[in-house]
Amino acid sequence: MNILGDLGGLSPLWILVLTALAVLLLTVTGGDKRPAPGSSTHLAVLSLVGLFTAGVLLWNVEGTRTLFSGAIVIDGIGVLFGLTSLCGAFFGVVFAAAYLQEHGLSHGEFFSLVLFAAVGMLMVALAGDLLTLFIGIETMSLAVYVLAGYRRSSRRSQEAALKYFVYGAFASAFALFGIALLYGEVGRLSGTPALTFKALGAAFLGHEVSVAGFIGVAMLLCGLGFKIAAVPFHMWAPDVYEGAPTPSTAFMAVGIKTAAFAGVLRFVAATLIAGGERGTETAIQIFEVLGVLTMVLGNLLAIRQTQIKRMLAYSSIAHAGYVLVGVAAFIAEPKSYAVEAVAYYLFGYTAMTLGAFGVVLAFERGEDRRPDLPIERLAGTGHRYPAFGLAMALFMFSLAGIPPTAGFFGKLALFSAAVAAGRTSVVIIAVLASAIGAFYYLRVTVVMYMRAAGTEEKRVESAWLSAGLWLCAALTLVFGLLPDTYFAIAKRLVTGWLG
Amino acid sequence: MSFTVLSPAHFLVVAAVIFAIGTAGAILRRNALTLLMSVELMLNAANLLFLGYAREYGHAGGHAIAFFVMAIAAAEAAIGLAILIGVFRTRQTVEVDELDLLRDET
Repeated sequence: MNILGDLGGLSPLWILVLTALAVLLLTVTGGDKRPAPGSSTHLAVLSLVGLFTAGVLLWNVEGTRTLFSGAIVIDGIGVLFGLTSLCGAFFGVVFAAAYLQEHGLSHGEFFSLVLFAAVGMLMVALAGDLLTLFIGIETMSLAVYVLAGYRRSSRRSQEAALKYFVYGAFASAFALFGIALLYGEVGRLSGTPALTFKALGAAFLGHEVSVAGFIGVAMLLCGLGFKIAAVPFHMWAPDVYEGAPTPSTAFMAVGIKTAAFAGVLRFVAATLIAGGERGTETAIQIFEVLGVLTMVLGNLLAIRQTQIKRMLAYSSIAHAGYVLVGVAAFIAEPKSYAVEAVAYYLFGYTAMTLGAFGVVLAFERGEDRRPDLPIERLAGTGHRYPAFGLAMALFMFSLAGIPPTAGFFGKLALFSAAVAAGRTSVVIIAVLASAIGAFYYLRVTVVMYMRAAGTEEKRVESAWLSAGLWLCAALTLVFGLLPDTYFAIAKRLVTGWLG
Repeated sequence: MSFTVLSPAHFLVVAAVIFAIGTAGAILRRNALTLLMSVELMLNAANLLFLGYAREYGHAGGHAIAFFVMAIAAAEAAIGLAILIGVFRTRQTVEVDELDLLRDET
């Protein structure tokens, strides 16, 4: 093991850590005064440069690199999901720059917490063993608990942070106990206990796994299920999404979900389909049932919501359900196309969800001092702000899965993967569920364009916000029109991982 | 069952019992501080299991993992207490049932 070389291989993570520390240091030395308009632009720019550099370094990794005796594996799937998480952090910073200035909150801590969370997400995506996976999950979660409670004076923000923390800590403890059981199980099966995915796969292949081993797998999957907000581990999501400051919500909705799905795929590939063999029928069905429950319940509950952030929370639960169907297809047929579909879906989901939260953020003005944003208050905004209205319509169409957006091709890829794996019945339910979903997404557009405005809702004026929205809209549309570009890259990266 | 030789089964049973106590505490108690303590108990149960297996198979890795877990538990407690103090400042209570601003409309 070459320590210096291994540390060098971690350069994307180092860049993020150093940028986060630099941002924090600049904040502290800049005094504790409230940021004047424009005074913290350099912090946002610095954070964005750090995130961008980390992305470029990650992108330039060639082949598969195994660092620290297998604790970190930089391979195709890690790069693919890591880049999507970084993308989420990038827009998190952009929207936060607009939001924090509007509400007079301090900038530096927010950006550095986003960067630290991004380090955790990369660790999860690049994890080569279960301990790295756990530390990564904790690193991103701890930072995001604080981000959820960033408005310290707001009772709603505090409540969101406490609820997220309580559920999150409980789920982490569950996952850790599962990891401990797996540690012993690998020891029993192969003589030496180990936590690397490789050792796990070797031990699970061709051996009779004991009850303790299965309980370990189940407990770790429960912990990850909490992070992706899959039913029945979703109870925290609506409350936390609604109470947290909107840029935190946007960031946690996309970044954590993407990273956690990378962890799920790696773990599933090592245990349930060890050695590239088709998983057992029970394993496939468990994932399908979870996926169906998640999408149906998420969509049905989203219909009743009057608060837009709460509605988007249930929508994000529903989207986790669609992705779980893709994971089930991967277990049923361990080929690269299912993983590509999951990656593409999460990328599209990242762009459109960030965009939708960006529009929400545009109507949360600091001087209005209102704690919430009911959907009704968007009435008439489509005509008054045509660009925002069009962007929101695009994001809603994409979330509903209407062509030619990334959301449509994502669903198409996921459902084709499931059909190719021979799971047609679950696809029928998924299509019906997304039809339910179309109802509440289109309702937002209807309110924005066709409902007469009761009050003249004003929007936040910010160059950051407009730039972020344009970029999100461009990503949603460009990758919707040219999905093949993404799939070509994804195929190359994922094939390298599956070997 | 002999009491002079410790086998993984002993560790497993003790760890499972501690974990169950922690889980029960986290589900049944409504005070956020007690919840935090229960979660610490769950993490320590996992630690005990790591150490038991490390001892059984003569593998130093388990001991190292225990240190990582302790560091994470400390970080988690620090963040959790900070959030609790914030909540206590505005509400003068840390009972989780009192947190009812965010919920589904019925």
